[in-house]
Order: sequence, then structure tokens, then C-alpha cells
Amino acid sequence: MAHVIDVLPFDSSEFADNPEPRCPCVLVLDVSRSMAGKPIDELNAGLLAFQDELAADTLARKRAEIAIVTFGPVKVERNFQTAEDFRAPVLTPQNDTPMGAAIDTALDLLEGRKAHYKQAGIGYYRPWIFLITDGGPTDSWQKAAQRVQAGEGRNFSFFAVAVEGANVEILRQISKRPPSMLKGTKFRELFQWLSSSLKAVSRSQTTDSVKLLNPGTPEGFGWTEIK
Amino acid sequence: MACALIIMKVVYTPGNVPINLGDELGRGGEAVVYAGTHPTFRAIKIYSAVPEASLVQKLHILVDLASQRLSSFCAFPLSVVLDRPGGRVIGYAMPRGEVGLRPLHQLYGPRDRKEYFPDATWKFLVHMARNLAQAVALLHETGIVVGDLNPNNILAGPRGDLFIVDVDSFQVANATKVYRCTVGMPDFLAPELIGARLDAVDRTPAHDNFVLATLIFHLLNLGRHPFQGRWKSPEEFSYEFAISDHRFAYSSSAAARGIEPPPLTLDLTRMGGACAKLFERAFVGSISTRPTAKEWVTVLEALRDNMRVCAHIGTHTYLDDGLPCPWCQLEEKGAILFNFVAAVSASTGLDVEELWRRICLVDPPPQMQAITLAAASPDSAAIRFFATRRSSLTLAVIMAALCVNIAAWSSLFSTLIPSEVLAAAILVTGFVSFLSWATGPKLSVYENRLKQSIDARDQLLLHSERNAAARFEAKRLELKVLCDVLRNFPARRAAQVAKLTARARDLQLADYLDRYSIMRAFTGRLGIGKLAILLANGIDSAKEVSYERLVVIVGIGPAIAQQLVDWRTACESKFVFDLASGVPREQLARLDGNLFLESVRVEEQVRLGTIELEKITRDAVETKALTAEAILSARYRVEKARANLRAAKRGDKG
Repeated sequence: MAHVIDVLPFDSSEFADNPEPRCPCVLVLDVSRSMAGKPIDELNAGLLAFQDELAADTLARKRAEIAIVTFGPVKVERNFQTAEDFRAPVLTPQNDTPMGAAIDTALDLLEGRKAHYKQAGIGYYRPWIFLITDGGPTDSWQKAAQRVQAGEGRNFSFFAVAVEGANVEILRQISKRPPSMLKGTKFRELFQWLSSSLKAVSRSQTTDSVKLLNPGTPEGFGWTEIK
Repeated sequence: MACALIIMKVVYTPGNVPINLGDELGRGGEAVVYAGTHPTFRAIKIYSAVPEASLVQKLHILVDLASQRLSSFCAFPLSVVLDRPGGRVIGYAMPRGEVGLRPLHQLYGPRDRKEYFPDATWKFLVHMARNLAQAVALLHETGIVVGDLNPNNILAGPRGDLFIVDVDSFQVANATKVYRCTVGMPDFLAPELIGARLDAVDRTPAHDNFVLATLIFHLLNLGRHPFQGRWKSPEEFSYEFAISDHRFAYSSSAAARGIEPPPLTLDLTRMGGACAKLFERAFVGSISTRPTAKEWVTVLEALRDNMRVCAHIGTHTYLDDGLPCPWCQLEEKGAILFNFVAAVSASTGLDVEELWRRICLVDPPPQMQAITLAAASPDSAAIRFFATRRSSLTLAVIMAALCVNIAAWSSLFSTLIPSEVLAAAILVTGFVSFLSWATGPKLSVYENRLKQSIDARDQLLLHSERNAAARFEAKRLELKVLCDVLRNFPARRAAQVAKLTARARDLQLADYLDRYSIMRAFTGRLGIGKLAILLANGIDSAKEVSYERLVVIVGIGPAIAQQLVDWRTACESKFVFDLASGVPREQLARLDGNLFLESVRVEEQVRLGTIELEKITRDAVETKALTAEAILSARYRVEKARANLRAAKRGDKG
């Protein structure tokens, strides 16, 4: 039967097993030297909580797909996996902050995944890209910024989260949406908010666009602050 | 999240009936559901915030509509509940669904279905679709619009039962007001509602009918959304766009709309013409052509009752349309859509002892009676043969002697008869006698005849009594061996389950240890540098920890290695093997499926073998008289040939 299998995309059976529409989410995470200590510990703890929360929702676990790109150096730490199969990595502090290349990698990963969905005939919701950094790019970031600006709102939603020490000015130039300031090391609250937002596509709503909880309020897990 | 309204143990009906709140059954953003300790009010929903006046009014209308029929498939409000006698409405009491109910998406999605509904076939899915249509039809008859019909609030049970929850979101109306359903899921929304604020529109049964068709399609096409396909348009895909542009991926007009059915899905034609037509009307047609819930009930019942079971895999059921099994065709391409002969244990429907009893009941072929033959007397020909041979030789010898003497006496007779004439006559007579001796029947003829008769007799014996008995014994032995194979199935299954269990325990332990993150446990106890070394060597949980593995890592000394090993041992000591979730159901189903198929094969061999066994005996009985006669005559022929040979040799007369 090999001739029959050959003409199908290699992972069609994955989608036959779980044909739920996907909500892809790429986390672009800064693991530069400056994240050492409490920030990276809290980030790791936040990822574990994220994994647990998504896996606990019977529908969201089949719909949310997580990928993780870390920098630097740029590395695809996790390729897209549904939340039911996703296992959080344990991140360790590395070297510098090639943010531009990391965003490029994330966008490429996302485009590849969307091509797969189309090929396999799987529906999907607007993808999310979540950039979390405590520094500024150490590489050329302008081209990546252009790609983000061009795709924002149409091909994906891009969120930038600034941890203490981040170059907010450059983040503003990358992301159309103003960057959110993380309060201290409230990574856990940030990921609670993210999982709850991802779960929204598996729940009934009043309008067809996902209503995000205000991250500055207790209902939105209060992980941002105004600076 | 707003703080829970009250922490209480008892609530009251308006008629002051107290209901004790039991265990928490479920929790959502707006309410918590508790078990109710009352025979009618078996579940109580308590809102987290005091419900608005319009919601309370809606609840009263729903309570007025409640009937036994509706509560049999809906968590229908049976009474509002108050925080104290005569107090505020804080929620409502409702019936409770049967145990084992699961959201509809866990039934139609293959991965979850194989786990939670391991026995479900396509026929079951069609039946469930029919039940859903019937439920919606009944609600519409009652004047209710569901509004937010979606796979989270429709629950399915293993016996085909169905239960709709979140009834307080239904849309109901009284003479003065429509109490709206204010929510929906974007992928389960009629095209005319896309982009609308759902709290600002009145819903109609036609809206429900669109979602009903969408959900029926999910059930019939194993979790596929009708508007989800190979997307060929330059536009970005979204449900809103695909649904409002009627891009039904399986439609006969799909290609023209820039969409194709996804791979590994059921063709619309394999759902039957009537069903295909309804789907086209629902998804491509306009709101006026949309099929009603009642129409669906009729068509789905006809489909359900026109199915056949695949000849190869027992869990494959499909429309009896004369075409090959569609599930086999899809599974050949790599997807496993149904459990392999789900959960049929090797012992089901098979009684080995009954099979063996039937074998023992078959009588062996009848024994031939030994008949004593009277001694055969030789034929006259054989006796004559001996005599003829002797006289021919004698005459030839006499004539030869005469020839010799004639020469001497020739002078005496020469005057009377010319001596040449006499000599010639004697010579001729002697030669003829010699010839008749030399060319007449020989003894070897009688020897051959005896040999032939013995062969014929033996041949006959081989094919009759001795052979029937031997064949019967051989077949019976073969069947005994096959029955032992069948008897041995439970033991074989147990051995294989034990093997799987041992493997599952290892996997479960590994899984369990994997949950103990070194980062979590040792942050603060070990420096970040040491942790990084561990991670760089692929050691990030208790699963990877072993002394041998750790001690060779540069930078990790024996002390740290021991510390980690002790920690692993401590983690391991808390591990309890969960037998219930030990061996994945899918694996067990596969094992049972294989044993089942083998047992069916062996059982078939036993059944056919038993029939053969009966035939051996029946044939022997039927031909017994005939055979006995033939054998007797064969034996007689041997005796006769023997007597003839004896006679031919020595002139015996018997």
C-alpha cells in the first residue's frame, strides 16, 4: 500500500486521530545570561503550570498547540505539539540576545505549521506569538520587526512581554501592540492568563472574537504593571 | 473571579423543601454544580454572583416548561433554589445525568473515542446523531431554542444516552419577552449569526438546525468539521469566512469554492444519498432549505438500520451500499480510526467444552464383522489345465519315440505304405502335441491371478473398514489438539496481559519519576551551574537519575550523585502502580482483538473438523452393506485363485 501512503502528507494520521481545529501558540523566550537566577526559575515554573492548566481542559488540550523558540543562541526547544502531548522544557540561562533571528525562526515555524494544516484540511484559529525578554536584541532585528508588523492582526497576534531590564523602546518598534510590563517575576500569573486566553477558543462566547481578560486586574491574574 | 456567593450546606425550594448540598460535581466561570441529596433534585447549580432579575425570570419560565420527558435528556431546571426559606434565588435544582457521560467531542474525536468509548462503532455514532436530532426536535416542539448548541454542553453516555447541560442558556419566551441565549462557539454558529453580538439577537430554530447539522457531520465523519478542508484560496482561513461563504469541503461544488475534502475522511456518498442531500441543503443552501431536526431523525434512522459489519474487522460498520468497507480503505492508509475488534475477550461466545462434547458425540465408524469363508474349490479349467498339459507332453514324447523306431522298421512297412508318408504323419502329430504343451496356458497365469486378487482385496480393505477407523481416529486427535488450543486462550491472554502490565508498570514509573523535576527539587539545594551540567547531560527529572550515569559526568561528584540517587529512591517509594489505568485500553483491545480473531479461526476449524468427523462415520455406515459384500467377494476371489493355482500345479481337486 506504500504508493497510497506516499501521496499523503506524512502526519495526516495525527490529524485523523485528532481533527479538532488548532490554536497554535509560539512562545519566543529569552534565555540570555541576564535571566539567570530567580527569573529563569520562575519562567520554568510558569511553563510547568501552563502545561498542567492546558492539559486539564478536555477540549483545549486537543486544540492548543505549543511551540517554544529560545534565544540565544536561537533554538527550537519544542516544535508544535497539542497541549495533551506538550511537556514543558527546563530552560537554563545561555549567552546573548539574538531576538531578531528568534522572531524570524518563530514566524517560519508558524508558516510551516499553517501549511500543514491546509494540506491536512484542518481548521485553525488566529495563531499567537508571545515574545518574553529581559533585554534588547544583540542582532539585527529590523527585518523581523517588518514581518511582525505586516502579519499582525491578519496572520497572527503578536504580544511582547517586557521583563525588568528589557529594552522597551525597541519592543515598541517590533510589536504593533504596546508591550506589556511583567510585574516582578510573575511568570506563573502570565502563563495562567495565557492558558486561560487559549482556552477561550474552546468555550462559548458572546462575540466571535476572543475576549481577553485585562492582565492588570485580579481576573486577568494581575501580571502586568504600568511603568 | 467573583468570590463564591455563599458557603452553605443547605438550600431551599420556594416551597421550603430543604436540599443538602453534596459533593462538587463541576465548576465553571459563573457557577458551581453540587450533588443534591434529594431524590428529584439530584444536582444543584449555584451561581457565583447573585443572578440578575431577567435570569431569575428565565429560570421560572424554564421550571414551568419542565417535564419528565425533557428532564430525561436535559439538565432541565426543576425548581429555583433559595439561600434561606423565603430568601433570594441563588441557583436551581435539576436532574443529574447518568454516570459515564462525556462531552460529545470525546465521542466524535477518534483519539478520545478509542479511549473513552472503546466499543463505539459508526452505527453507534449514527445512533447518537439520531438521538441528538430527536432531542433538538423535542426542544423545538416545546418552543425552546437551544442557541449555544456545542460539543461541550452535549454529553454522551456509553449506552447511547444523551444529556444536554447549561439549560439556563437556552432561549425561552413568554408573552412579553424573549429571554435570549447570549453565547455561542465560533465554529458552531449559523452563517447569519457570524459577526453578530449574540446578546443582541433573537435566535431561531433554524440557527439551531445549522449547528445540529454541523454536529451530526462531526459524528458521522469522525470529528471533522464540515467547513474544514484542504484550503486552496489565497485568503486566510477562518471559520467565520468559510461558514459564511458556504465552503462545505465535501460538497459536490467544493472544488469551485476553493476547498477540498481533507485526506483520510469519509466520502459524503458513503453516508447515503438522503444524508448527503440534507448536508448539502444545510451547508450550501440557504436558511430556507435548511433541514429540520425532525427530517434528520427520519434520515438517520434509515441510515442506522441499513448497515453491515465488515467481514474483516468487527468494529467496522458501514452503510450497506454494496461497496467495500470504507474504514478498511482509510485504515490501510495509516490512520487507526476504530479499536481493533474492541474489547471482545477471547472467551466471549465460545464454549470449548460444548464444542468438545459435540465431537465426543460422534460415533466411530461401524466395525466389519469377520465372516468365515467356506473353502473354495478350484475351477474345472484349472484341473483340466493340469491334465491337458500332462497329456500333450506324453503324446509328443510317444510320437518322438515312434519317429526313431520307424527308421528301423521301414523295410517291413515299405511295401505297404511308403515309409516317408508314415514318418511325416508321426512327426506332425508329435510336433502338434509339443506345440500345444509349449504354447497352452501356463502356470504363471494362475500365479498372476492370485496376486491380482490379493491386491484388489487389500485395496478394498484399505478404503473401507480399517481406513474409516483410522481416519476417524486421526481427525478426532486433530480436533482434540485444536480444542486444547482454545482451552489455552485464557492462560495465553493472562500471560500476555502480565507482560503488558509489567511493561506498563515500568512506563508508569518512568512517567511518574519524570514528573519530579530536578529543577523544582534542587533549585536552592544545588547551584545553577551544577543544574545546568545535569540538564546539558539530559538529566532533568528523577527518571534519568542513576548513580552509574551521574558519577561519570564531569563536575558531578559522588556526593551529589548519591544525593540525587537518594532523592530518586524517595520519589520511587511514593509510587503506587495504578492497575486500572495501567495497560492502555487500546493495547488491551488490540490483544483481545488478535486473540479473538485467532479463536474465531480455530473455532471454525473445529466446527468444520467436526462435520468431517461426522461425515467419515456417516459414509462408513451408508456404504457398510455394500462394502461388506465387496470385501467378501474379494476375499472369495483370493481363495479361488489360490485353489486354482494349487490345482493347476498338482491337479488337486480342492
